[in-house]
Amino acid sequence: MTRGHRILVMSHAHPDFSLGGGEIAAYNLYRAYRQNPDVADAWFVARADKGRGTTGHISQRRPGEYLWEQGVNDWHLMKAANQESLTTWFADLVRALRPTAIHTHHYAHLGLEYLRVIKQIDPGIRIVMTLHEFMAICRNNGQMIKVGSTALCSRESPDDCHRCFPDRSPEDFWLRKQYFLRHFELVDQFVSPSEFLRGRYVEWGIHPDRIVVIENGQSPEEPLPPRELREGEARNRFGYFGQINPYKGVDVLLEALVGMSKSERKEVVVEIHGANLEWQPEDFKRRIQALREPLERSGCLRWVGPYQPNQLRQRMQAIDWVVIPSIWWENSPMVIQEAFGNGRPLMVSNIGGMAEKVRDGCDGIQVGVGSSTEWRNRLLTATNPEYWHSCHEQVRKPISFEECAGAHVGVLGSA
Amino acid sequence: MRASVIVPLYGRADFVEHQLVEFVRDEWFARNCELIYVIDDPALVGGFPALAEQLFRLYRFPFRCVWGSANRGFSGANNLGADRARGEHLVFMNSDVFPIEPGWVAALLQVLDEHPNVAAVAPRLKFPDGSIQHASIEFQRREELGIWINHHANMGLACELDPAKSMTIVAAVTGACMALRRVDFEMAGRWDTGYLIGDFEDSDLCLNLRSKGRDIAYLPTVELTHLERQSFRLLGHADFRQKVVIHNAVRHQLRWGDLIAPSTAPAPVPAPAQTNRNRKRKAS
Repeated sequence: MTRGHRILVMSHAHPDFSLGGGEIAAYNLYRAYRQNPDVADAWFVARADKGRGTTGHISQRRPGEYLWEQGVNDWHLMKAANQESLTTWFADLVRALRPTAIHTHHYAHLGLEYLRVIKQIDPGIRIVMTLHEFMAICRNNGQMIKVGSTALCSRESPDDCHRCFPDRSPEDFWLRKQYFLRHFELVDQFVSPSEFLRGRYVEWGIHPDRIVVIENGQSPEEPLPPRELREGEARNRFGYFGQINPYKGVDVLLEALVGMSKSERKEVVVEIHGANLEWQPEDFKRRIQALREPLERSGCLRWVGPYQPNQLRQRMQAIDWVVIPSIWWENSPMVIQEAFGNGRPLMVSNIGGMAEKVRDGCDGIQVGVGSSTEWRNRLLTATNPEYWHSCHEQVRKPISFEECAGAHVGVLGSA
Repeated sequence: MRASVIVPLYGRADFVEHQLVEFVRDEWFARNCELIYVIDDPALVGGFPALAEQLFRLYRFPFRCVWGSANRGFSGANNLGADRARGEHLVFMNSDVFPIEPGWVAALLQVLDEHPNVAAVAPRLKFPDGSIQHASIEFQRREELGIWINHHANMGLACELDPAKSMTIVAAVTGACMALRRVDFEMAGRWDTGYLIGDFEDSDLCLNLRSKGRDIAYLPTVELTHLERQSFRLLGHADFRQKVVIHNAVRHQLRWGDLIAPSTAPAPVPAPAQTNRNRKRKAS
């Protein structure tokens, strides 16, 4: 390789300031690109909020890493708040770095226009876009859940979407989709971390040849040993890791505990390692609070609280099962790969990306989505040490950062 | 310059970007056409230069803006656009019409090149759901009002139910997307400005051309999307709208009565007697 790829990685956020799965995956990939022998150079530019609005300024976070004070002010059409900077400072950055490829991880908070600006600067720059949710398909924050309910939605159409957003006409939704599709035409290669998300986008309008599945890479550490059991103890420690919001189903999990008899509750311990509850709607917070207090008193619930990425491994050491009770589809929740990497089987809702990644009765358990009764039953049976052991044995090691970067370089072709 | 594409803007300026996102995919358009936006709404004037600058930076697709200091309505705005147009052909297009594939202007002009007697040609227009919005216009009698109205044939039906499969000579076509030679447009005396904010300007122009022995063509093999009447919603209540339609229809049939009546065959048994009776009533 004489020249090598020059890759600018773009993300809607920087993990220094925000710990969502998408930005962490983008940053890890950027660092892995830098180590890849076929990559001559790599940079990272993340949208950031420095508390002074969407100034459009670009600044250096550390060598090779930039922040862009950009935002979105029209979520219907995903239009960038600072239009001026698209063809000025952002264009300057692209012209100065001369990337051969731009690997972007989102359009939320960035807008869609930058795709067009890149191609105007140099049509030869290959644009790779990793999709992390369904925002292009669904105006409801990309959740594919009907507005004002928890009903799952499996298809968009101007008339269906208008029913969720009555202040927007069906024609407005037609225009929205057309606008997204025309901007997505500028992308040379889409990457989806799950078959499920890929399928949804293919159904929506991306040609199957233009979108490949590459799972997010993980730290290449060895799996943790199983939690040490005392004589006669069961595999009864269940851990929830991640954000707490109305789509994540933590309330379903708590209701499952409420539905247990007093003696059953003595047989399980659920740990909540959750963040961002304080930002949620008031009625949701009250609901969680009301469920939580009596359960904590009875000892079956431990509210551990948020964690930093470097604390995750230690926290997973003390649990047997990782649980994901989400009531939305999910794409490829990072905690699934993290659990597998740490040698922990999972219990997950039986839909979408969760049902794809966790094999029922093999390396985990699939539970009927949103059913607190079924969660109650499955929590109680999962404590059987032999059953846990058989699932644990079949856990596969996730792909590493290095393997993930290698797969992406393969998609980019020769430099 | 092969053609000038003239688009009046009223009510909403956001359609401009949605059109550019399609036009920019069409190399033939970029090489052979000029694009003219006629601002026909005082409310849009102030913000337009900034919007135009922003859109040009993003799309690098040149267009001209014309503002004539007043709201002139469909005909007046299109005539103003034609004043400024430099193309041999004029393509009049609504701001809520969006190409589906590149090459649509070239295909419309090809009809005019190959059929000298065709003076105006319009494509098939589809609703966002893919059904027919425009597949030519025919005239229908509304007996209770004593008027002939413009009927959009087969509107709302699946496109495969359109009986026209290739270029077809028809009674009239829509002005939402219509291509003409400049000389024919001038020969017909341009868009008639005597109609109120209604529908009949397009059929009036078609009938005018037909009165001079020329043909009107419908080209179903070219398709565009039309978000019909997205801007008309802004105009008045239903009863007001109906009075406008009646006014326009009466004017329309006073001008072109002889050409309107025979083009329809509304009766289940098209006996000659019925046609005569229609004619008589029309004349009275």
